Amino acid sequence: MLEVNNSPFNEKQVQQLNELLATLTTQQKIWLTGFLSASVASGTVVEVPKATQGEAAPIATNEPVSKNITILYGSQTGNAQKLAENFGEQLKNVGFDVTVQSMSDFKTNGLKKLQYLLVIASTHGEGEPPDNAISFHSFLHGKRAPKLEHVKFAVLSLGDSSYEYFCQTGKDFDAQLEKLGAERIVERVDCDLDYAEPAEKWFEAVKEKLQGDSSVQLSHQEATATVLQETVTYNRKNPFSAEIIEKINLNAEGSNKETIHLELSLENSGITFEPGDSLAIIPINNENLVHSLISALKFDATTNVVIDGESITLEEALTKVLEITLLTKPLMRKLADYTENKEFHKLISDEESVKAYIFGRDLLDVVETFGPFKWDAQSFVNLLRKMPARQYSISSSLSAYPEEVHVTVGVVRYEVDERERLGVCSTYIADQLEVGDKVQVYIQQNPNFRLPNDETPIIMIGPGTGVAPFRSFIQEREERGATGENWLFFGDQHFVTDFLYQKEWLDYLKSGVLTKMDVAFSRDQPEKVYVQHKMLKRSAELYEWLERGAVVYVCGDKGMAKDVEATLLQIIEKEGNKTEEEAKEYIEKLRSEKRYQRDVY
Amino acid sequence: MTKKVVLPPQEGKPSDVEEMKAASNYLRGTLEQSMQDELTSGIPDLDNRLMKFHGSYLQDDRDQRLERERKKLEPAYQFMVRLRMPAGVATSKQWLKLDELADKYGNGSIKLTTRQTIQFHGILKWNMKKHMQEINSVLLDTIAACGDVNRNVMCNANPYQSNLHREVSDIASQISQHLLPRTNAYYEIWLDHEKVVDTQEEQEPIYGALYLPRKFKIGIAVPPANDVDVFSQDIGLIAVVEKDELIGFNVAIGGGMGMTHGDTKTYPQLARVIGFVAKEKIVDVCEKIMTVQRD
Ligand SMILES: Cc1cc2nc3c(=O)[nH]c(=O)nc-3n(C[C@H](O)[C@H](O)[C@H](O)COP(=O)(O)OP(=O)(O)OC[C@H]3O[C@@H](n4cnc5c(N)ncnc54)[C@H](O)[C@@H]3O)c2cc1C
Ligand SMILES: Cc1cc2nc3c(=O)[nH]c(=O)nc-3n(C[C@H](O)[C@H](O)[C@H](O)COP(=O)(O)O)c2cc1C
Repeated sequence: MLEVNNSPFNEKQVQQLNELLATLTTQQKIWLTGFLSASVASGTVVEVPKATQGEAAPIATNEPVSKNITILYGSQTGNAQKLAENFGEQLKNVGFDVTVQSMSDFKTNGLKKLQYLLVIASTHGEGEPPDNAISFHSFLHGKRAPKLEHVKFAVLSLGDSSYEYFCQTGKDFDAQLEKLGAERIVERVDCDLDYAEPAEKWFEAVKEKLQGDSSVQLSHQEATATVLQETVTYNRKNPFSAEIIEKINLNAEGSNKETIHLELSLENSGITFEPGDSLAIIPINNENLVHSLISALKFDATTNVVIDGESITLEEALTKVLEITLLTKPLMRKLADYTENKEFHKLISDEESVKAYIFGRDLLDVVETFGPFKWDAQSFVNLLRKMPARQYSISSSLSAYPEEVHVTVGVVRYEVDERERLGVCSTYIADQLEVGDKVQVYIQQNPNFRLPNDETPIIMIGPGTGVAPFRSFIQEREERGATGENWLFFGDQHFVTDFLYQKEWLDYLKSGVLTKMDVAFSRDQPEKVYVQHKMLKRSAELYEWLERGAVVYVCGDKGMAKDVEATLLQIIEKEGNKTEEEAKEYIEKLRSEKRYQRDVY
Repeated sequence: MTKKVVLPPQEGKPSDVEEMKAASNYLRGTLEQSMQDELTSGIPDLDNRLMKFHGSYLQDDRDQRLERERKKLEPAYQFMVRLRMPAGVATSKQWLKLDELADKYGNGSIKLTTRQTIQFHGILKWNMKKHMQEINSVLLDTIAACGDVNRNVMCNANPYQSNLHREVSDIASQISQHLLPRTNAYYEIWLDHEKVVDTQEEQEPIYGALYLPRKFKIGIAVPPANDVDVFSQDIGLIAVVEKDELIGFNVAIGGGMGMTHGDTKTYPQLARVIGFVAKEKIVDVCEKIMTVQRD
């Protein structure tokens, strides 16, 4: 930005120049630089040429760009939202009139005025829309959805190919917009966990369409310019190496569970986060598993393979770079190209049996059961996905523990075919890492899981590791001296061994920071008791809190979150004297007011 | 004529335990709420002191203390439960129940105590009520098994040894029964009996609202055996037999006297025989001796 005191211009000039400069594309700026220096050098005032090239430089026409673009995102953990905001910013920079909104903030009567609609949506649950897309999704699929023949659209979906319904929500929007008569300007792109590149390509295609073909080059430069502007942040490609400063198994002896409380130092990283955010941890594969796999494959561990243009040993690739545990249907289909094994082909020809097979199994099973395959090390690694980072809800607050981040990790171990299976990231943390070791991390923002203002009461429902973000919430509220009441529901298997952070909660209750707490220990009595049963017991009071404006948070297991939602509906029906329909509307209203927020996995 | 001795007033104020007892509303305190608090398997200190009068108190596993502290868990609290079993007698039916309970709610052990009763360990708060109810279902209880009251009354171990032994055993039960606290608290808290509406009406004619300063022990010996170590009791009764008939007891008094370790003003007394009492009056005499200690 130009200012009076950093430039030779007066206030009015600074204002005019700033306004103009903000609207210029890189090419226009370059042109202008050349133009001005030429005119100064020659000492003559050169007449400004009439706006050229039509769409290539829309601003030069001096008319407001008529294309207005709406970017709607449906996002749970913030990936789609970040992309939407980033793309929106880039389109604004080239002069478009852009609105970026969460689907839940978008008023559906605005559909009639839409011109260009870009949808960026992730998929959650089992092929379900993220929370902030639920109502828009059902509106578009319902009877009240208007004809959209005036709309031009493009859809970008985010997902994870390990799920049965890969990118389902994006697919839904894409098909439904077409069905309502809208015109697709760019083919939908379905992104897997490594979404950055395909998303960027999709965006380039969209921008190209919006600007017209002659501006391809220009938009490319714009894109790089914007990327350069971004401050250095830590991400999947550039993680921060954080030192472990504390590691505790929170479960007492005799428990079926193993839950690791991990404290990491963020010293000198400049990393910040808010309560509700997650920490992404990049794990490495278990050494023994890698060795078993390499020997089952009859490869040599020291063979070099090329990944992303870099040559590394097969062992390193399988340990640090690639995913070798999770089987997905797409992967199974790719593997089939390398074998004529009839059993294998029979297996993958049936959707149900392949689904049953891949559950809980890994590449080693496939290689041992159906090998040998006709591949070399390079063609083998070409089939594999990059190792996805694992997310963990942050369980500390920066104001309570500056320059630290805590997470609460439930360790995954199970047995299939008499072989013990190890959750990649959780057992990496539990078995391989000690205090003093370093681990690769970055922050995954979660704009849809946030504390309200300090006066608002909150109800937190978080059994098991679902309690993690609420430890952060309570720490934060204590530090801020927030006056809003706090009610926590927690549950696990056994009181004696599994009451995560018990002493801290008891202290918070004593000091009054925590107003109420209810606990459910499922296996301490003959009948199973879960958090939703405790909610029902407190039905009247819970509804009274809702009526007083309380925000409800649910975190943890997907299945639990479903039961909790059903119970909330039941409570609203009963205590509010409502029909099922009305109770559902009540919940939708809570959702749209951001008073019902979930973080489920 | 015996001269009335006026005791000098006690030095200092009553101990905080006395205040706690006075405020406890005849051994209720906040026990009922504390037992229902699902967030901790412990109970507050004051309630734990009252708990003793109900035959139980909270312990924690010391070996686990540090480790649990690190894991951000409270100590591994559990209750010890001691029965009131005058003369140490349980029927076979009762014994089988106790054996079952040791595994069902306890840690699998039954401990025989030096005062002829048994105690269970490792009972979790959530199981306490069921545990107490099942004990009571075979007509046993735990009232006054610990705490500052008359404790389990001891005597010869085998009532079937002779008619004499049986009679003495019965007298042990009568003394125990007579010296029980009268408060309804035990029945309300553990056995769901209806609450006494106005506890003003409920009184402890023998103990008063403060109960005793310390525990009180009674034991009966039938010579030639001295299996109960009769002179170590607060009241030691020595059966006096004439022509195979029990006629009464020689009464010895003494006891721990509320000895506090390290405080030289308190010291135990070996019991001394003070006289003979006919068997019909023995229950009453025990009461009167005990009230001296109370005062
Ligand atoms: C937003 C978000 C927040 C999260 N927060 C937390 C948190 O706070 N704490 C936490 O512990 N986790 C949290 N998770 C989950 C976490 O990211 C990991 O998914 C989890 O730790 C497992 O990772 P892993 O690498 O150990 O296991 P993986 O190697 O990924 O294996 C897990 C997979 O194993 C399979 N599996 C597991 N059990 C069985 C079984 N019994 N039989 C057959 N197959 C089985 C399933 O397919 C499962 O998906 C969160 C996830 C998200 C998305
Ligand atoms: C609990 C959970 C469930 C998911 N379910 C699906 C699914 O059914 N199908 C899919 O393609 N992706 C699924 N995903 C992957 C997400 O869509 C993917 O991580 C995406 O990048 C998230 O984008 P967001 O941060 O904008 O929500 C799931 C992710 C989570 C955490």
